[in-house]
Amino acid sequence: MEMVKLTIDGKEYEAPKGKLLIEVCKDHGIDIPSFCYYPDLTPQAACRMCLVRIEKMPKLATSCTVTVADGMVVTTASNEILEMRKGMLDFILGNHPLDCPVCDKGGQCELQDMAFDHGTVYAQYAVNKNNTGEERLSPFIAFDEQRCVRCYRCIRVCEEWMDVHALTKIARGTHEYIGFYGKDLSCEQCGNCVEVCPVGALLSVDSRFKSRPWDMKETVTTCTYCGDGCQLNLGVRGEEYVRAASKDMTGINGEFLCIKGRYGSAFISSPERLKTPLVKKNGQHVAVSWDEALKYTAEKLAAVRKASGDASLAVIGSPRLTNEANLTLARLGKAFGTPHLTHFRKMELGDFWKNLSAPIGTHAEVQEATTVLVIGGDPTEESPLTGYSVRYAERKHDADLLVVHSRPIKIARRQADRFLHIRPNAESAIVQALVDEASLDQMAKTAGVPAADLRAVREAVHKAKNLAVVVGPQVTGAALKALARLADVIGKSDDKKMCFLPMAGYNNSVGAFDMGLTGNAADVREKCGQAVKAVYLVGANPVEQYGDGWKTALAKLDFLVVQELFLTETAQLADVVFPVSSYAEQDGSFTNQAGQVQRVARALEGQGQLRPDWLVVQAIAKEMGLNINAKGSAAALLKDIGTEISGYSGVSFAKIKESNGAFRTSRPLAAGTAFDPILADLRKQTGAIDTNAQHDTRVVEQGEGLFKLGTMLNQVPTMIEAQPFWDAHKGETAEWEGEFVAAAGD
Amino acid sequence: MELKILTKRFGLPNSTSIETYLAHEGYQGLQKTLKEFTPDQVIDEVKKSALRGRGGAGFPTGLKWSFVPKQSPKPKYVVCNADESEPGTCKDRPLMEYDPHQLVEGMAIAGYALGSKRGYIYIRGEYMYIVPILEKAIDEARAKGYLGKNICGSDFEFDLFVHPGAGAYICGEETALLNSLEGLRGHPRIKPPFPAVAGLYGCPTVVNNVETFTAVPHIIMKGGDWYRGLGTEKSGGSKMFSVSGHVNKPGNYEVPMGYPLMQLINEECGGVWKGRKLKAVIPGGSSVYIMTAQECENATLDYEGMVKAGSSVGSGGVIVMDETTDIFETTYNLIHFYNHESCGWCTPCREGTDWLHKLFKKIHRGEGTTEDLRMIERLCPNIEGRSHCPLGEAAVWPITSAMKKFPEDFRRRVREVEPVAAD
Repeated sequence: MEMVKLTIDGKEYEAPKGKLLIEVCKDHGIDIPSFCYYPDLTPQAACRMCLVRIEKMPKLATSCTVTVADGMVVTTASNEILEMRKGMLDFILGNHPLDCPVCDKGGQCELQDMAFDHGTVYAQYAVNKNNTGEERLSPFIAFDEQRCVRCYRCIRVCEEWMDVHALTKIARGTHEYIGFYGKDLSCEQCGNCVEVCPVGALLSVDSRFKSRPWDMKETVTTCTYCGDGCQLNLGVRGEEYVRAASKDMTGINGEFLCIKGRYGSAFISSPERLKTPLVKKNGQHVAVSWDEALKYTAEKLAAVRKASGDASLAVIGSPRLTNEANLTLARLGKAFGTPHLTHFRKMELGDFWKNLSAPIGTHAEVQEATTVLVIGGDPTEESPLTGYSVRYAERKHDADLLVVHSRPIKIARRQADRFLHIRPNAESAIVQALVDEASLDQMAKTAGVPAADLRAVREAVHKAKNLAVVVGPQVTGAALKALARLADVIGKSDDKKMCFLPMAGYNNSVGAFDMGLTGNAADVREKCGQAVKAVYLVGANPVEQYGDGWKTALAKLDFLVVQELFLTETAQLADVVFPVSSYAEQDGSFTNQAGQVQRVARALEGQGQLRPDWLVVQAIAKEMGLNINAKGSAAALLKDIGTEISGYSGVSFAKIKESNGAFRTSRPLAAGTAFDPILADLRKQTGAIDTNAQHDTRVVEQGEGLFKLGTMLNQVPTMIEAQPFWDAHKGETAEWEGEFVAAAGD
Repeated sequence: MELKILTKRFGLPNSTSIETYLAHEGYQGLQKTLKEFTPDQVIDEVKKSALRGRGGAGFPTGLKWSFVPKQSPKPKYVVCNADESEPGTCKDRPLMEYDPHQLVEGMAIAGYALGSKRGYIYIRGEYMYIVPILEKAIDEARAKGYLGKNICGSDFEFDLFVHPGAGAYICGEETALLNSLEGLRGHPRIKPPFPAVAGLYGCPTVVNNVETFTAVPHIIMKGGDWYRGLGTEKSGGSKMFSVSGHVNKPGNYEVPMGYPLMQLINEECGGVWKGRKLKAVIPGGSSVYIMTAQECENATLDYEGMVKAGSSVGSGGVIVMDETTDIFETTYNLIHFYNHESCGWCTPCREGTDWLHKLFKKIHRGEGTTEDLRMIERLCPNIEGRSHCPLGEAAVWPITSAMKKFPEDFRRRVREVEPVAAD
């Protein structure tokens, strides 16, 4: 990188040529106040706080737009500049309501800080202010116009990070405000505009007026929704959850969060939370003491085991639980000696890991990719940070974005360079075309896409210098195995980089699998009431999620234990229900879909007699007289993971901290096992595709995945209240007439 | 001594038609260009003429054209700034209304010089009735082969389109104009890059005023030296001045550059009305320093002469005020305008003009104090030179100059108070 020498306030510095002056100053600890400058957003030169004197320039220059050049002589701290800053703050504070005592941002406000550091002592504005009111833009976001400093961060975040373009400037001059065209704010409600707002202008409806920032204890933890594993700052006041914000830009997600991450955690403080253990007596759940419930459960399980054998017990964990909880569950299952040890998952990760030909990539690596293939999943709706990362690659260096999906999903409609709109369930045909060129024309027909397009995608994938393959749950069976072998098929070389990012579904899908809950849940369902007599089920609601099949199956059992947050449809069937800590009430770790182990940290105690899942499991084992190597803390369990689980070697809370919050697991690449059997299976799979199936052209503008309510979101009041809003803004249309709609291959 | 160069076809019967235009030397400049000039020679000729931008800034036109990168693979655009919204200025209007072909010809020559195939006339929304006049002229020119492909039998291709604005003063700023033309919000862009390098749709673009383009055919016909000879050494040619206010014969007058200001007022415009004395003149549209009668005495209407006299030529909107004028009220009117037109992009202009307007309003109501005047004086330097585009400065210049040159008009409107301790 070419370096230039420049002088700032009399001192000489070296900096990379072309870097923004304000960034160079910040790198060297020179304070330049600014509102509109923001990392990774286009420069605005709007707030004028960052003006500096540069020799040979006739006027003061905005350091947020000037790039450094050799020999530049800059003054950032003269009297002229200090007076300018005072004056500029006078302007900004002029129409500002100065309602700091009732503003949610007070104490964390950039304007307050700046006025303190650079402003005048007395208010100068001796004329009437332009008073305006607060407006609710959507069920999630409110806007207080008068507090706005017009830095336009929100608009740029909406346009650049999200590619949503919901916010814009309305009117002009001092009446200009941030708003939208239409009835209300039609967008993904990610709230990133609220996150970046330097003042209290954009506000989250759910946490507004609940707490002053300094009354809140903030804890960095990992989000409990999708597999991306965004870092959150959970704000808690007393024993009540207030809000979630993103970590201070140092987590894997930077400042990014989605609607679930930001607004989905209020369930923690829901009054519906289970508070005491419940035991079913005469068909009714009765609150009992922990001792009684544990003893009763241990007795019952032991009795079933004695009567029907080890294999009559099944343990079902959950991708929502911490690694520590899943580890103890796996240990319990092993101590039972049962083969029925499983969890509910969207993606058969075992097949993927066994055939892995290229490393699992982090989001940062996807962001650097020059070619991105998204196949069989909807990152925008299912894994928003993955979606963000793909858009980032597209935005920052115009990556070649190839999307394969059976529906015209948002990323296909808006960002894709090439979209293969395949028939329903035809992902495997595309995979076959990628790994077996000879069948390409036939596969194009099978999938219902133009052969030329498919060929172009194949070529782009094979020739890519830095390829990221984002694999969704619709890629199944032999296709998933074959796709995992893609790097072998393409051929590895030093000048080629490739990584996979599986969209595994849940926050700890990868961890649950890695901890050893690898069995097949559907298999357990089949055997319920026959070979399987008792089920130990933790953190899952199959009755609601996977249908009545589970309801009948579970009803056939002799004994069902459930550990849950709420009395779910499944918990209602249970003989014993244990109330457990949510992710916010316990320590532990999650492994995200990029294979990074991140901290789960206790933000609050929780109300009621809650215990972490792993503690309950260990207590049951103890009652049953089983040795499952019980440990007294999540930290000790994580250390065990570091010695027992392959790829997690050496992991500990300290190690996670050292790795900047994200400990990267290693995963062995597949040794060169035979590819032909996989290909043969794949041909069978593609042969079974219904080639008469019509293309699915339905468009849902937003919210399909983001707004789907599960066990936890169902207990978030804002989410429930927003349902009518969401229905109105789904934007569902039957037909999409975009340019990517492919004619049938024949 | 009024000149008849740009205005020579004004008043001819059916002056907007191509027949009239052709009968009076029309499109001869374009034909001559295509026959005798290389693009570089056109630029050289324009440089020689000392033609300077007539929109207000007075940037040398030839120099501006020479900034357009010749080797750029991108298309190049010629854009005419017809968003004439400077208070007091109405010279582009007759140029388009009475002689649209002159503009078309000028832009075509510019297109040839710059290697551009496409031009746009961005016209202010309030001039909507001129749009059909221009479009008719463009259609006629196309039909006769002065626009379109193979112009005058050469392989030069150029076409023109008219785009009306929606009534924002800021869209007269060239980069805001380009944004508006692209269908975006009319906000000024960050410079650099300048339009010559990255303008319309990110492509090299020249933006010139209507009057600038209309001078080009004459420069080609009669030579840059002739044109320069009309005016002064550094300010070539003739210029239109729109004289308004307290004169007997307000109107548009074309005079040579360097023409004495008082002569324009007294001879062409028949002097200050009602036998009153001159008090002040705003000589170049409202965005320039106001002049006292004394400063006007020896002022000459060329770029250097006006700076020497304490103001500038600007866009040539001469606003004449007689001795009965209250300069405070004049300034109040102007700050109202600038506050209304501030686009809102940058802090000093958005908040500054609002604050100034409120202070003026307060003084106007008779509630002002000397502290308010002091505050005005304190605010202005924090807007000037600190705003994102020249609108902020344009708003401040008339105020600071008026307060300096006519302090009495301000002082007598306010109540004397003890100064508040400064921070």
